[in-house]
Amino acid sequence: MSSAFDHTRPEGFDEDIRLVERFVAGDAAAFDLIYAQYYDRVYAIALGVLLRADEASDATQEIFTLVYRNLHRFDRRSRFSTWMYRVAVNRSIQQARSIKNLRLNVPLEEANERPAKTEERTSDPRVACALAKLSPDDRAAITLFYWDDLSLTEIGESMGISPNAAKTRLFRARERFKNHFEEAPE
Amino acid sequence: MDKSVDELMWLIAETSNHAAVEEFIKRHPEHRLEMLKRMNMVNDMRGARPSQTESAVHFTPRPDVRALANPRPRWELIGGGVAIFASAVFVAYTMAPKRTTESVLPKSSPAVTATTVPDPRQDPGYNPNQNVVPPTPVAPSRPPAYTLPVTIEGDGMSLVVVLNEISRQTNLNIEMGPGMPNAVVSVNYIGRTAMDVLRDLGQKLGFTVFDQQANSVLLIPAVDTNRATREQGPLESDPIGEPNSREIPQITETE
Repeated sequence: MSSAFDHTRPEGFDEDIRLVERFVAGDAAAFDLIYAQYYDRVYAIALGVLLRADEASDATQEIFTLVYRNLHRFDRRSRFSTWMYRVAVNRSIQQARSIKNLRLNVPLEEANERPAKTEERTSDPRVACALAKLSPDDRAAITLFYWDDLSLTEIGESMGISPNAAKTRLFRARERFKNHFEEAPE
Repeated sequence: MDKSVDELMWLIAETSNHAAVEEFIKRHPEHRLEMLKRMNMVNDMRGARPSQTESAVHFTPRPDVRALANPRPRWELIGGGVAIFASAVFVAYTMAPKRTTESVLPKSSPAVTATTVPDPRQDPGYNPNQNVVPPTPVAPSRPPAYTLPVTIEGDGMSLVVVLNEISRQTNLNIEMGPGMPNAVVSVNYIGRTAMDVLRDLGQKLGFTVFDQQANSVLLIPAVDTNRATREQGPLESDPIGEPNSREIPQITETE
């Protein structure tokens, strides 16, 4: 591999590319390795945005299914992890919005009959309460920063915005989260 | 709170560097409580990360997953709509002239196809830079009305009645100039052209026939003394007498 080609890659060689190339070449087992390696991170994003464990599990399966079907479209211009996170964020935010609309359309009597928050796996109820008061985009930014330890550049790429925009969004989301966190009962 | 101090506090809280925390509190004791709140929040947030889940080792794609909302399907819909609209416009454009031809022209009209103008571009000597004037379609020739045969017989008929009868039989438009006589005549014309009849009457009653084209003739109450210049107008020297005072000849035409 030439040094000129290496220079075009993001910093550090993306080891996941080998798994991607194996899968695109027909090695289905390579996707199981990708699945095992990224499941927890993708699930964390889905849970951070959707807040409910059952919905996060469904969303995680859907995200991996989308990646499985569209992996041949990955153009290798970014790290595979960034591409994967972007799919996860987009799908989770999309589902959060659709669920919100769905719940808005549920009659009041049915909404009262739903079992509330019984399946949430977020260990801290104050965190869950504060996250629930944020928008899905703010939850995604907070989750990517605190749970997946992504840099501002990676958060921007995952959310389809510039690093500066990611910094601004994270700053505001963090301020809102802090206010809700302090208001929540301990 | 100063913005730089605010950012510094978040940075220290998120790095969880105890030495940095102690140093910051030494310098800014007024922000000690806020610093502890932020550290607590960051710790709780990080600690709330979902624990290791029991993910399946083998992945099986779900069949019921729809693709992410992508603008491309909408573009495909728009493109499809534009294509359908363009097709409809094209069909309407190509069908409209045919429909007009079929509705206006009778199906059994061979004259229409016979008068089709040849395309000069099909000519081997056609020069595209030359200003080509398409030939004017030739209208089908019809004989002038005044050449059609007329049969009029009768005694004691006024000139107006005779002229009306000529016009009726030949569809010739006969216009009378001012001062034309309305004499009573006896006529016997069988199978002669309308122009012959009118000229004969003109010689006898003192008027001249002028061909006006378009199946129309004009009668001027003046005697044409020169047959060669019959259609150049009346001569100024020709006196026009009082029509009603003239002696009306008896006209008898025999074949």
